[in-house]
Amino acid sequence: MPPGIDDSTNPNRPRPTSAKPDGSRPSARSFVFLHLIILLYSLAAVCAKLAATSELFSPAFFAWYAGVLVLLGIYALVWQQVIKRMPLTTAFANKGVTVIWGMFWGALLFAEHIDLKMIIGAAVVFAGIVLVVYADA
Amino acid sequence: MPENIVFLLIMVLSVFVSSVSQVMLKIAASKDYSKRIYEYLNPLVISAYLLFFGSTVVTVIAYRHVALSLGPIVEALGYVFIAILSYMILKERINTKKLVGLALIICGVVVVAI
Repeated sequence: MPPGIDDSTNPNRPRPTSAKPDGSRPSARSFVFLHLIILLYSLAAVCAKLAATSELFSPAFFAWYAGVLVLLGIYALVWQQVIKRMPLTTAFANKGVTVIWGMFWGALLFAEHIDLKMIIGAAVVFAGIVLVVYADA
Repeated sequence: MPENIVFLLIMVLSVFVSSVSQVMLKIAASKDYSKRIYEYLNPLVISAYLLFFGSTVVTVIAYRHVALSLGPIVEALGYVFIAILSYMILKERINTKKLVGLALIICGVVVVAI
């Protein structure tokens, strides 16, 4: 798998049952790293939204779009390192929190209204993600 | 949001294109190459990267009328597309637990979209 793009949305790629040879639990440090890059990933979506709200082909548009590519690039590289240190299922299940980050940034930065329907929908999606990633575990 | 449904579908299209690129990378990763550099420089991987790049452009187009809060929820459809593509192309099995999970993802997306 080349770096740059990971197959992070692919729940079917082969995975170790435990990333560590001795089978020990991933360290707290790995989880901090994991959630930092998940946060970074959610910021790529923020940049995409900012690009979308900028005038098409304006300097701001290109700047935000470049932001998308840079953040996705960094994310992909760090993700490869993180999944060396923990089971892929754990990493993918945790990645489901991007759903929450999306609502958080939407409400905070774009004054989007988060209603009960959205929270319920997001919770159902999150449950679905966890089931899917643990189905092969 | 009948007017925005078009842009929501554009978002779904970008997720689909991205999923196709991931499956292409997966196929490329399972092949043997004579040199390490060919793991990256081969038509399949390069077209996969181009498709992924294209999907980010389509995402930005979709975000013109799709709320940021909806984006990552719709993006979860990637799990569904990849499962279907992997089933069809890579002959990967889908067990009951996964089927239920995929159904939940679709239900959740429909709930927020309608």
